[in-house]
Amino acid sequence: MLTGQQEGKAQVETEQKLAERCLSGDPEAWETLVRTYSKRIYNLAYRFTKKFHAAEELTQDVFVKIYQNLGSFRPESGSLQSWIMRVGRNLIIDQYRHSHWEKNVAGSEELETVDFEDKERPDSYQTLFQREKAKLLMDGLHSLPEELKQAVLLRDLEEMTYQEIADLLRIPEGTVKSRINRGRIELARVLSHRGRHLGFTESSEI
Amino acid sequence: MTCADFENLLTEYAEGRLDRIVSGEIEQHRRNCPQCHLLFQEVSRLVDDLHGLPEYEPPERLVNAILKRTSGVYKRPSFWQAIVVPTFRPFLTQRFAAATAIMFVFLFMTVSLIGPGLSGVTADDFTPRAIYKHADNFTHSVYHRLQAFNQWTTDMRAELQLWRTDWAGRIDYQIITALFRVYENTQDKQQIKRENAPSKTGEPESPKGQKKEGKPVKKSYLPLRIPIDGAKRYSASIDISHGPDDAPAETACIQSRASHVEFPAMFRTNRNENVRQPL
Repeated sequence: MLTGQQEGKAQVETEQKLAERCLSGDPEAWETLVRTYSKRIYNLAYRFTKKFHAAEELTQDVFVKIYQNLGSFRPESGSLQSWIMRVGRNLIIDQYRHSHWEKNVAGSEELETVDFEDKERPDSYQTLFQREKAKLLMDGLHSLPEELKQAVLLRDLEEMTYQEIADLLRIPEGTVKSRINRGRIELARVLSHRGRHLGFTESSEI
Repeated sequence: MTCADFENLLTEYAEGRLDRIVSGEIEQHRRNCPQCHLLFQEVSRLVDDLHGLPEYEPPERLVNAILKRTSGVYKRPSFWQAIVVPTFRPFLTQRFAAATAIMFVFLFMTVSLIGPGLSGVTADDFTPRAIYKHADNFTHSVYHRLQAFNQWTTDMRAELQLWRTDWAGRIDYQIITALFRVYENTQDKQQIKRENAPSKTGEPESPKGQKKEGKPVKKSYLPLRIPIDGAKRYSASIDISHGPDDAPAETACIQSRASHVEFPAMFRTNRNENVRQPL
């Protein structure tokens, strides 16, 4: 039986092998890599943009960058997954700084259907409720000021540490802390206000 | 401790990062201030909700788009994946299965009510001879249809093969046949004119015809422009020279500008012929 440490080691080895095979030009290995990690990047991008099509484009850009920079991956400084996620976060936040998605698409928000990914599954009230709740959460999150939104997103959705967020955003750790705190409080207030408005109350917990 | 202090320390308190004295003070404040207590509850619930947000499955086209943009290897989805599954997926859900079942029931009822009834059938239809006759007719009709279909598929395949191997020649062929059709048409019209003209005017021979007979070779020039799918414009010209007695054309030369035109990939070959020799 494998212990946790051995498993971790085996994982690192397979990741290393996968990266090496990709570098040697094995298309199958590259496809495996894309299939394995595209979901996380896609979700990360979606959470930042709240647009499925923008998330798709961003995910493509991220993987093009990964493809170009795969040679600079060093297994000794971290796992392949964390390296990929780091590349993804950096690119998405960079793009975010330079572009003005929100301004460009502010009017077209109504056109976006949030739930077309789940169309195949039959809706029960439970999933409907969850979807509605998720929509409410995402809407609330995106109504926050940029810096608060980023902080909450990276902390509570991506589950990064304060230090990682500070490095990523190039701001002091204290600022990260206060932004997360402020962001959570603001979001809770927005949600409780909207929830009351929409008829979601304390007792409607599922 | 004020409510503002409580708010500032909320996250650190919730994550257990404060020392005992400060968290004691916060506990104290929470007990005394219902608003701050509510806020604390709401923030805790929010963090739980954020952790439980659903992950979305990326569409299949995303992986393909990435592969196409990176390694250039585009994996075409299999027939099953691309056609069968998306087509029949709606029918696999309960709701659609129920709807389909109801539809079949109604169809069955409708057919049994207004469909071919048994009233037109007589005892004569069940004689061995009648049965044999019907079966024979039916078999023959099916056989002929099958044969026609086979012929059609063979023709189409041959045509496709021709296009694939020699698209330039095929285009030339189409143009030449079109030009000849136009040419024949004009000839027919002239013929009709010539036949009609003497009967109308009563003259046995027109001076024009004599003039024409005097010339050894008449050159008719038929420019034609045929727009072809994938090309903006494809122009070709044909020179038809024929003898004094309206003999069939001896030479037909066609100049194709195929190499200047973007064609769909299926027609692209390595040939690079600008001018095609006289047929």
